[in-house]
Amino acid sequence: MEQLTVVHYLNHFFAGVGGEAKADAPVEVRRGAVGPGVPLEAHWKGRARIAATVFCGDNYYPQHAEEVAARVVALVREEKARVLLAGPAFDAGRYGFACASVCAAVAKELGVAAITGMFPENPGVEVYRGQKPETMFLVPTARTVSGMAEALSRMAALALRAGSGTPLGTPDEEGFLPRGIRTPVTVEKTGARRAVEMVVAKVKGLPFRTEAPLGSYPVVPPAPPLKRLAGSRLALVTTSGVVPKGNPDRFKTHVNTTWAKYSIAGMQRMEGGKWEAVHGGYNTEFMTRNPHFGVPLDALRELEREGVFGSLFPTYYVVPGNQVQVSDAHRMAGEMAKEMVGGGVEGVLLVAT
Amino acid sequence: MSKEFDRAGLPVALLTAMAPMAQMLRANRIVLGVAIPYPCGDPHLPEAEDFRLRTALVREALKTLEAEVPGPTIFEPAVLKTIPAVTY
Repeated sequence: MEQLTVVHYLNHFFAGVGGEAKADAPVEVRRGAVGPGVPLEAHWKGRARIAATVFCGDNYYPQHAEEVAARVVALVREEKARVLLAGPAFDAGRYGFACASVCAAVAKELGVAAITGMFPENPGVEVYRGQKPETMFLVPTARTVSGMAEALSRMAALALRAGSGTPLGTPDEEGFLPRGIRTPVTVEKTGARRAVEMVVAKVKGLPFRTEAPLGSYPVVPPAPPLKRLAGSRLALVTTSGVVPKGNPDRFKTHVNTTWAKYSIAGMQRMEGGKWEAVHGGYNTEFMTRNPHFGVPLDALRELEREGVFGSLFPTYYVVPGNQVQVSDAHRMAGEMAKEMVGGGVEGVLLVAT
Repeated sequence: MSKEFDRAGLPVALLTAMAPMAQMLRANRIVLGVAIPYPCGDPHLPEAEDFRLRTALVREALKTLEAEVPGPTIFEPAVLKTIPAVTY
C-alpha cells in the first residue's frame, strides 16, 4: 500500500517554541514530525508519515492570517501531501481558529483532506461550519490536553481513510462533527413515521436523535444605532481581565463563570500600580503595566469632555474572557445588559483581548 | 457577549484585534484593534502618541454606534495604518 504524505500544522506552544512570551513567533517549517506529530505518526505504523510541520505563534496568526494560510497551502503542494492535519487545539480559541482556517484554505484550494481536532465549543468550530469544503473535517476532542491520546487516535484514523480516498460514511461513523452537508440516502421508514417515533420517544422520556439539530451560535440582529451619540450614556465592558490590584473578586485566569464591576466614577485615568490583568490566554505584561489597553478610560474621558458622547456609566464591567463557556458568556452579558438598561445606558463599548 | 447587548437593544462596538473571529461568532459592530494583548493602544509608542492612538481608536469605535449595519460588519480604523511596524 502506498504511504500517505501528511503535513502537520501546530501553534508555537505545541511546536515547543515556548509559552505566551513567544506568541508572536512568525511562521516556520521543520522537516518531519514535531510535538504531538510524533505519537500521531506512531498510530499509522508506516502507512502514513509527516513530511513537514508548519507552525506559528497564537498572536501571529490572526494578524497574518492570509500569509500563514498561503504558506501552509504552498507547503502541502510542495510536499504533494494528501492530508493536512492541524492541532488538536482543544479549547484554545486562537489556536482553534487558526487550525480551522488553515484547513479551510487547504481544502478549498487543493481539495486534499484537511483535518483538525478541537473542543466542540472552540470558536474555530464556527469557521468549520461556515466554510464546509467537502474535504475538510473537524474531530471533536476533550476540553483540555488530557484528551490528547484519544484525539490523536481519532484524527489518525480519519486521516488514513480520508487521505486514501475511501468513501466516507456519516459524521457519526467517521468521528467528525457534522457541518450541514446533506447526502441523500435510502431509509426504510418515511419522514412522517420517523418524526412521530421521535415525538413518542420524547414524550416517554426515551432517547431519540433529531435529524435537524439547531446551530449553537444564534444570529442576533444588530441593535438599532444611536440617534445621537453626542447625548448618549455609554458603558464600558472588557474581557481583558483588568481588575483592581490584588484581584479582590478572585477571578481565575480561565473558565470564569462570574463577572464584576468596578467604579471609575470621577477618575480621569487608570493609575499605574492600582490595577492588574488576570487572564491566562494572552501575555498580560503590557496590560498590567498600562490598563488603558483594555480599559481606555483616559481616551473615554477625553471624548466625553469633547462632547463626542454624553456620559460614561460610573462602573466598568469585566470578566477575564479566557476559555469562558459560550453559554456562560451569554448569561453574564445578559445580566450586565439588564443592569445597564436599568441604569439608563444606551450603548456599549466592549474591549476584547 | 456582544450579541446579548444587541438583544437588549444596546448597540455595541466590539473593539478587538481578532476581528475575523468576532465576525464568525456574529458580533455586529466590530472595530479592529491594535493587537491581542493591547487592543487599545501600542506599548511601543511614546506615552503621548499612545494616548492619541487610543483616543482615535475609541472615537472611531464609538462612531460605529451611530452606524446602521445589516449584520456582522468589520470597521478598520484609519489610524491603525499610522502605527509603525514592530520587529521582534
